[in-house]
Amino acid sequence: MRRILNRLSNLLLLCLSLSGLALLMLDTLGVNSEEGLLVWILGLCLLIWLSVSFRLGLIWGSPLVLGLLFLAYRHFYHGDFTMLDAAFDQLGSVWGSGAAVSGSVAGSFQLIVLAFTAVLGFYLSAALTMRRFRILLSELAVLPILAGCLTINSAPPSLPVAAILLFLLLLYVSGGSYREQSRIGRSTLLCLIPCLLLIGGLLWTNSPEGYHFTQQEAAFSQRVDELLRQISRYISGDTSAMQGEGQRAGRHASESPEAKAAPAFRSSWQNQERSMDLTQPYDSLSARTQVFRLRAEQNGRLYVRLMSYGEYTGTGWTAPLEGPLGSLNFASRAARESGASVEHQADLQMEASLDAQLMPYYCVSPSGSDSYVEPGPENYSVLYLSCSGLDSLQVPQELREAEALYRDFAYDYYTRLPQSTRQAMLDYAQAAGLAADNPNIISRVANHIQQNGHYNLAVQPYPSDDYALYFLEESSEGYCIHFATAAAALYRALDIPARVVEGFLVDARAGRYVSVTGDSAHAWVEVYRDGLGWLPVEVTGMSAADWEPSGPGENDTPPDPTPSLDPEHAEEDAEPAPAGAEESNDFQIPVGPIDSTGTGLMIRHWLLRLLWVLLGLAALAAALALHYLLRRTVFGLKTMQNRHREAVVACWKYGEKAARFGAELPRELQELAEKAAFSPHQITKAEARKARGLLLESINGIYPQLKALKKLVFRFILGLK
Amino acid sequence: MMIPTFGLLGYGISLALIVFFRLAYIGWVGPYFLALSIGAPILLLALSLGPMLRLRLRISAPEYCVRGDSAWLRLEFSGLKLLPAPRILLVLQIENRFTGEITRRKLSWSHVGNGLEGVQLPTEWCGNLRCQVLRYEIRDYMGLFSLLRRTPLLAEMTVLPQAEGPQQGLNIEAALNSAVVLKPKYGGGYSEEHELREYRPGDTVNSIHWKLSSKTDQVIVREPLINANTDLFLVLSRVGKEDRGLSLLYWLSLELVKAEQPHILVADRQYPVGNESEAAAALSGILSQPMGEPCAYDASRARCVFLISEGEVRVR
Repeated sequence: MRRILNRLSNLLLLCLSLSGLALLMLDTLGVNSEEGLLVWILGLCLLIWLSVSFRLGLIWGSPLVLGLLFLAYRHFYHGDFTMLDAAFDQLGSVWGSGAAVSGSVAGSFQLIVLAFTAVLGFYLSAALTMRRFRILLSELAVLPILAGCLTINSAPPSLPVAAILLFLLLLYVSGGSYREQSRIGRSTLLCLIPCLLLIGGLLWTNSPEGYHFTQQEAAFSQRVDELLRQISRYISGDTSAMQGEGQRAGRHASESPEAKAAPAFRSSWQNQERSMDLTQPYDSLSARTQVFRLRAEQNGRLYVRLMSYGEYTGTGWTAPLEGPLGSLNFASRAARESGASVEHQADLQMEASLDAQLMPYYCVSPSGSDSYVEPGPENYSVLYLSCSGLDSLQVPQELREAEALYRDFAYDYYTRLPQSTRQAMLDYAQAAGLAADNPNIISRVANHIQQNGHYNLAVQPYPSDDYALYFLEESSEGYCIHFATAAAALYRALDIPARVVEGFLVDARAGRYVSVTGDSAHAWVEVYRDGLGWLPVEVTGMSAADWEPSGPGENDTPPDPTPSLDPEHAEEDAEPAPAGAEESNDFQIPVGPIDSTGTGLMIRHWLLRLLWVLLGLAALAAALALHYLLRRTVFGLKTMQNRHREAVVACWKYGEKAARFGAELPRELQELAEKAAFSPHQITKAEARKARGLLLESINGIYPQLKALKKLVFRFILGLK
Repeated sequence: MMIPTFGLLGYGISLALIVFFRLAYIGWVGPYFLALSIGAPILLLALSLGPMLRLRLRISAPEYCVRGDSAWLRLEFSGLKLLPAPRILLVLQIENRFTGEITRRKLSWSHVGNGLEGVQLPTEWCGNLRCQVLRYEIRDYMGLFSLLRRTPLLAEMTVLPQAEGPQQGLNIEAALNSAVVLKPKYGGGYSEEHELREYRPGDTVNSIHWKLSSKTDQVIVREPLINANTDLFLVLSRVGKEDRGLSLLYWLSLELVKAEQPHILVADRQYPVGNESEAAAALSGILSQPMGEPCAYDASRARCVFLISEGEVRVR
């Protein structure tokens, strides 16, 4: 009874940990898991538990696990093998990006996660039955995955997190050593209800729905980030950047004493003049300020538009001139009329006052001006469309005339540049091989900017009167505003209407409110397409070799240029855009990773690296555990087989292995082995058992005297104990 | 007495990290983790308190065991109800009072319920083992607090030697017979053994051997004789390798008991032995204190003295 309870408690722990981790990983990957997935995971847990809990269980349990995985493959995976390849290829890039995953690839992801869960399950099963370091070995597998997921996903689903925490709590209850004779199972099962009540009660009082990140917390978080950033730079030897940062911070503090006293929410995207001054230093204090909370209907990244700007002044952008048609949005009308779009709702709760209303692309019914929507209530809902193949659409017939009217305005106003800038930009474009009559010129310009600019949040204010030109010809370093400014200026020089847009890049989670801070602020470009209207283009890029994590950012991570018009079909359109590549899709909705954790880029960057390292270690440990289980199984099979002669010889052979570590083999064992090997006499069952007993006695005698490394080899490599 | 453990230090560090996480992390799990990290130890301590307070421990050991055999100190846990005790740490001191060796063991059990647990006692060497639980503590589920109990618990066990005879056989009967010394039986009377001598004044008339006196023209009397010394001494001089001397002593004592020969074991003091239990008790007495020189004994009274030294038996 005691043994059964112990094993049942291990099954419970296995189910809690694996189901929690699998669902959390899928959510972090942006995959909406199927309802039946939990059943698959629980079935997997049961089979793994059966395999590991019983003697020789691996012999028949492993094929059953593989069979279940094959059935899961048939169930989840409907496409061809290229889809699975695509899922693997995108695992690295999607992991942490929060990009939406389409239905077919989601199946592949679920399959991958299920397979990973199986490996993890074997490891955890072995760890849970260890006589020592049970807690440590289990945490070694669970905590890195939990930390990685939380790093990437700041709004994890509550139930998987609660399941993992319940597992950890019960793990402490059940203790660090597992013995069949102890009452681990009884303790675990009796403490289950109180622990469950604690976890549930705390979840109820700390509801994810009602959680708010306060200003004080934001200020502290910001200071931590700055400290970590400085340490990182000190380690990398970039003292100049540190000095520059310090100077800038000092200047900032002197310019806004009230901010020094109490960090206030203020940034370039909160100004009533609706203009942008590029010479102003980056307002790092607002990076941790919670701006709003957003709840969408599906996972994925959302570009939430705040406002766009008008004319380029060399050191900034002016407030936009109102268009002739007000807020008429041609693109969303075209998407809606096409019938290929899907309508979604997003709920927003404002935590800070903004001078414009936030609107995700492509918003159905914006009301306001051409460049922004007047601020409304603090809590509101908006409808937006997701649509594939938007660039091939045209505005409906009834809007053609209006579009022609607006197009004239756009070509007149949104191509304006200072004459000197225009000429310099044209020279630059000519030198770069960019011309207005090039096919796919929009994507070529975007790719050019992305690949020639180096993302650096710690960039100093440019010593120039023309930021766009200085970025392109001199510095090449900057963050999203600089990328967007240069791209918009270059488009305008090529007579393509373009404007800089500011907003937020949000890692949306289906059905859950996600807190959005200043970290998630971003800038991109809108380019006017004839007959369709304004379409967003992501132009911020990075050079992986040169980019260094630089802490909190107004626009955080440089986005990964991945063209996609529809979050739901992001994977289908997920061809990377190489430099100068000819693409059919000229327009790219901005898609890129965002720093949704609020702990800063640097933390996430290093934690991601750490995660991969730990995952590697966990895989290694799981492989070692599997190897150990197999070895022990073979050991048991050989030394307890019914052919007693072979069993005794096997005991002697194992004994010889142990003798290499200094074990003294008893004379009786040698005599029995000689008898078994050379004598015509029969070996009885009692003699075989005696030989095994002598072998175990020798092994048990030598094992405590071995040093740690030798113990490792003795036990886990050779499987002698 | 409830005392904090080193686990509390680890918990403090973890809590500091969680507080840092709470302040630096934007998501809802920050406050949730913090609340859980504070609430969980309280809950688990509350759950642990019942078993911690209720647990009772008693120890016992068998009175004797033979050297080399396995013997266990029995720890009897009682008083628990539904929940097992989370973790018990115990410091056990085992003193071999014969060899003077003292060993201390730190033992632990987790999830202990009512019942018995065993601790194997060292039986490699003979001696009286005095097992004492110096202290034991019961920890809570998180290992942050311990309920310390210093109630002294004591149990004793004697590791007796294996009864092994000498390698060269020893004829005990012959040894006993060769060592007979007779003396006159004062007061006369019947005796199997007697001697004839000339009459001395004071001899009774009944003791005169008339027939022989008539033939020898002397008055001859028959004097009954009895054994001069009745005591058998087994003297342990030196134990020698592998407690060989003790094995011999025990074997010899048991053999004499079988032969119904009461005897006296001579070590630190004299132990009269008449049966097996007395032999074991005598050995136990010998093994209860360090080996020294054997005490003085009256050799003149000895019918036979078996001198045991380093695995050899010499008969005097």
